[in-house]
Amino acid sequence: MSKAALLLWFTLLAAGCSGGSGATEGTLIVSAAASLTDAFMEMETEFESTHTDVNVILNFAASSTIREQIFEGAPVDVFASADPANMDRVAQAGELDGDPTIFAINRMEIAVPPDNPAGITGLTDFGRGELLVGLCAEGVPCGDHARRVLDNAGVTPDTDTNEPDVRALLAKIQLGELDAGIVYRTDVAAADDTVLGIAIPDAVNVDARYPIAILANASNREGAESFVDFVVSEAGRSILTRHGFSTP
Amino acid sequence: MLIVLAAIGLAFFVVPLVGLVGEVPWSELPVLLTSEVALDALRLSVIASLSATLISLVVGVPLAYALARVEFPGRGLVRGLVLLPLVLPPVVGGAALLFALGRRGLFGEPLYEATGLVLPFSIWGVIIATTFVSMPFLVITVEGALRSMDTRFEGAATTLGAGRWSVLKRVTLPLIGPSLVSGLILTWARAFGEFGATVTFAGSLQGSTQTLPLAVFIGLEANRDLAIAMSLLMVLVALVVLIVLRDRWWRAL
Amino acid sequence: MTNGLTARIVMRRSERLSLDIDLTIQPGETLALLGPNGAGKTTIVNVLAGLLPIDSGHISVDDVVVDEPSSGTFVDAEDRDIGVVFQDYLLFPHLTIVDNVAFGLRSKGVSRQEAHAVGTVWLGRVGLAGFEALRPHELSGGQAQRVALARALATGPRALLLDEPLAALDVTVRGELRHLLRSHLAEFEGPKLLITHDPTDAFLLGDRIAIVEGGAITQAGDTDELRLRPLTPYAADLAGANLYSGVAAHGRVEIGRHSLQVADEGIEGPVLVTIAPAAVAVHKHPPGGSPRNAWQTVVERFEPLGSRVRLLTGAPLPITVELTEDARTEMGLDQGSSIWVAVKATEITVEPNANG
Repeated sequence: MSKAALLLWFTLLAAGCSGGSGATEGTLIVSAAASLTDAFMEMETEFESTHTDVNVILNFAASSTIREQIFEGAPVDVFASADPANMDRVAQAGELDGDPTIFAINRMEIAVPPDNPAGITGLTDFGRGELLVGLCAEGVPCGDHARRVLDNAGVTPDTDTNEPDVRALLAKIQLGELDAGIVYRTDVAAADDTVLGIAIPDAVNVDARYPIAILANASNREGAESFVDFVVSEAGRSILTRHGFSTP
Repeated sequence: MLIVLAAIGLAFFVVPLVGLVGEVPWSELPVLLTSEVALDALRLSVIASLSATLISLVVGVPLAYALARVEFPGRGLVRGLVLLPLVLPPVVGGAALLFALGRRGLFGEPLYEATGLVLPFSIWGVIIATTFVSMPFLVITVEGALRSMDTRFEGAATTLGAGRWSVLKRVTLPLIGPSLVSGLILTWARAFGEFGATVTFAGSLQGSTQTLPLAVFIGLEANRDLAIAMSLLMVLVALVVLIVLRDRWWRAL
Repeated sequence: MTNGLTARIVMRRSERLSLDIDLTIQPGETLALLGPNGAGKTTIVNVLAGLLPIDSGHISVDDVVVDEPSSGTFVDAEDRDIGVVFQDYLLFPHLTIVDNVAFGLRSKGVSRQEAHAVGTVWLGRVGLAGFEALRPHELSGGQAQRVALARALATGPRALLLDEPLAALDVTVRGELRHLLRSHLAEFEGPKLLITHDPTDAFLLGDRIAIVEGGAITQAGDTDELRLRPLTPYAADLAGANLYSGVAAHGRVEIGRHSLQVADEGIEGPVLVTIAPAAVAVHKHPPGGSPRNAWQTVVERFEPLGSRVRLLTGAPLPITVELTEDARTEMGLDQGSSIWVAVKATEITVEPNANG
């Protein structure tokens, strides 16, 4: 994990960290969960167009990975996590400036290849041994949520693989190598026609609540505040909704 | 000056090791290492790495022989292909295997349709991915040895009545023996540590495809102590193998 | 009806080297192929052994045609049954020397036990009893050469080829091993081809000598023919090495009708005598002092060699002498000039010669 932090450090150094406190100008380093990729890239474009003096640098990774990077001292200004658990651990370590805010809510959805060759209809299919199904690994928020969903539905899955991150899981579904997997609704939206989504009933679904927070060691505090304000603003919320999130 | 540089070189290897050892939860170590996760991972790693080494031996030596001794058109290209897994990022290699041998793959689909055999998500997938990345080491080592050996010995053997197979068995292979052994060690070592191609092609499931490297990676999220314990296990296995084969290793190189 | 080995070898080896050689070797006969390096001698060995094909011509051993491009015949090396002693011996480094010697027998399907026994016998014959378990790298040059010979002979081949068998050896052991080689060659009944660049080897070991230069045989015959009537500069150089056959007794050697005093008082019987051209002193008048071997003779021929000159003298013992051009002019030496030559007994090398 410290290796990843080191890599992040070098990348950011290379990108040129300038800007002191007291101004929004300069670089703003935002580490966000992988599932926020498409939404936050649009967020970056919009934000930079109205804040021309700020250069937003986005770092996407699993929330747990970002957590470790922060612990190892990586220079992050804003952290957007895919689950409160990782954010809480960062908070407990005293790394946050103020409290986190829930800015987006994601739900889980079943993803299948576009032609749905295995004829998946719902969660119970995950118990069928003859199918090839996958989940995210335990410890990865996507994986934990998926397991809770299955638990709520009373299904014991016959999993064939626990992928290290949701993008890998999605890739295998897109290729047709897996018959089904449980990913975020936003992932299905972002994947367009490359996967087909099958809704999970609200009753058994889980709310994945996404918190965002400013780091105590942020080098660009003004910029960070500006960014978080933008994320929770109308403009930010509409971007999020467009990508499949709900907002609180 | 030489000593200073050598010491820096050594530091590259020692420092991370010390970092790892420093994090080991010594008191829980026995419990962690005898857990199902660890034992399953160890079993799979041993099976996969030994299988990959064996396959590399059986298939790689003839390939090396062809590259070293037979002049056929496109030989340079073939050698380039054999070296490709060394250059490609392992994940790219795994993706390529998926495109070729996955259930919807170029060759995998007809295979699946004909026999119902699915290679990903099985130990076979792990073995294939592992062999893919490690066999080049054996081929290159053996080809080098065959090229640099004095081929006049083979001529002398034929004047003594030995036919082609006899020459191969009684003269050529024994003469490249040390290099063959060092090639096998390198191959096994690469196979044992393989991660990217395996996780991309075979996926990761405890007891079925989750080798030690995969278990460590995923464990770093969920159970850090277990991950560190398994890392230590890998280091220990590697050290034991390399120390036991120490003499051969140096003589061969 | 030819037993033995006959060969007509025509081939192009490289840009510079073409071979066109005719060889006939009777059973029991040793032909010494003498020539400078690069003449194609090792290629001849490889071709006869079957490691290389010829472009045209034929090779037959013991009435069996083993290589004849015109009829598409080619017998592989492994089936030719021709023993080879290679220039670097090429003993298998990973086998003990008894396993080396037994290698050919094992190739024929002989059991390990029997092959081992035969190998041990052969090692005894070449004087290496007790050395069986050693590895080639533990042997001296002379020992390795003997193992190589034993290995080639152990299978009872039809013919024997030796490529510079003594070249890798120290001068000090060469003489001794030459003797050993001669006795083993004498025992072998098939045709034998010996490749060498050393005239002493050729004269002592060969029944007949053929000189190979630039891929062709420039002269063939026995030592006297070569010495008295060299046909090429290389042959002349060999002749100029002053090699003679003679008979030794009580510290003197009779060569033809001439008698020389030599330093070795113990040697008896047929010998090969060598006198370096530089060791012969030339005088216009009878030399004073102690040289015991001095005689008057006439300059038959002389050959300029840059700043040096080579003289061939006539009766009673034709000898080649080298001196500077200045010395020659000073003494006024020309064809027909009368001179005295002198050689110290210590400058005369004498070796036993069974072929004399």
